[in-house]
Formats: sequence, C-alpha cells, structure tokens
Amino acid sequence: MALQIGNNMLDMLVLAILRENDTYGYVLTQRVQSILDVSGSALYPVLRRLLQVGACATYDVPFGGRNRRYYSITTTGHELLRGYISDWNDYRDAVEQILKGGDGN
Amino acid sequence: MNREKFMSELKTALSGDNYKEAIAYYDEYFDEAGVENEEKTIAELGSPKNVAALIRAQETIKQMDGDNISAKRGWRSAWITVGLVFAAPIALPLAIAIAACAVALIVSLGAVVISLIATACALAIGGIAMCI
Repeated sequence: MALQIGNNMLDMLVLAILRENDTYGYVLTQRVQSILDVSGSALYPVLRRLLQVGACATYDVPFGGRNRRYYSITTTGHELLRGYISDWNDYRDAVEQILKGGDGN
Repeated sequence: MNREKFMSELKTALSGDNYKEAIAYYDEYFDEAGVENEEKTIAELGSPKNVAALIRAQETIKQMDGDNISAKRGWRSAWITVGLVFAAPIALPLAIAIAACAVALIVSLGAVVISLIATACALAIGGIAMCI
C-alpha cells in the first residue's frame, strides 16, 4: 500500500489485531507489515503510546529460557478502537464518494 | 553491523530507566526473528539512531500534547485575570453604591421605628394629660 499512514491508522490496526487475540511485538509487526509498507521500528512507538494511555497492557510468558512480552487490549483500548473505527468508516465513505466521481449525485 | 553492535548503539542512544523496556523490546525482537534473519532484521529496522529517534519523537509529541493542555489552562486563567482587572472600575463603585444603599436603608428604617415609638409616646403622654 503506497498511501501515507498516520499514527492513528497504526493505533487502530494494532488495537484491532489485539482485539482478535493477545500477541507479542514481532508477530504484531509481521501482521501489520503484511498489509502496510511500514518499517519494523514503527510499531514499538505505537505500542509504547498505547501502553502510556492505558489502551493496552502487557504480561510476560516464559518461552525457551526467556520471556515473551504479550500485549492485550484493555477496556480503554476497546473504547479507543470503537472511536477509530467510526472515524475510519466516515473517512472511507467520504473517499469512496469522491472516487465514484459524482455517481452519488 | 550485527545484532550486538545494533543493541549497544541503541542502548547508547536510549540511555536511562525510561527506555529499559524499549531495549528489552528489541532484544526480544531479534530473538523472535531468529539468528538466521539477523541481517535482514537489522536492514529492515534501520539504524539504531533512527530507531531511537522514532521513540524519542513519540515522547516529544506526548510532551507537546501536555504543553498544549497546560497552555490552554494558562490562557483561561489569564482571561479571568484580565476580566477582573477590566471589571474593577465598574465593580468597585457599584459595590460601594450597594453598600451605601444598604446603610441608608437601615438608617431610614431605624428612623421610622424611632419616629413610631416617639408618636406612641406622644399619644400616651397626651392621653394621660387629657385624663388629668
């Protein structure tokens, strides 16, 4: 995808992925990269921000002699995601309206 | 560059307790990617300086948000102060006038009461005089 991706878009995607199930940084990054052309280093700042606003939480799971840090979505995160999805729907509708080139008129 | 060099440069760029979790995150990231993907992972993450800058930029944005909020609050209290200063020339005389009215009212009420008593006394004395 060649479109510029803003912070809110990444926040929304990360929260939506976490809504499906808890996961750790690497898998989360791979998942986002499968649909968006973003650097591997773009996701940590997003997770850090979401943690700071209480939209997600972490817990460690032992794995192969080390820890995997899992991220999960909180109630605040669910609320935030609902807002993002509503904004996204409005935005998508507005863009489609323009792309249709006046079919709607 | 290898993982060890990447992580040591990242630690230099992100020193302090505030960034311990960031370091741990990238350590785990390399573990998950696996030794066989080390080079690819480094190429894909970008330079440690860049990685650090992205995290710091996030902190700055957060700080700026905070500054904005306090700036708004600052303006609000500034406007209240400005309002009070401008209101003072009107409010002060108004307060004095209201106080003067209140005093005048109390004094006049007192005068009415005294005059009523005086009238009652006069009538009583007059009545006694008539009887005599």
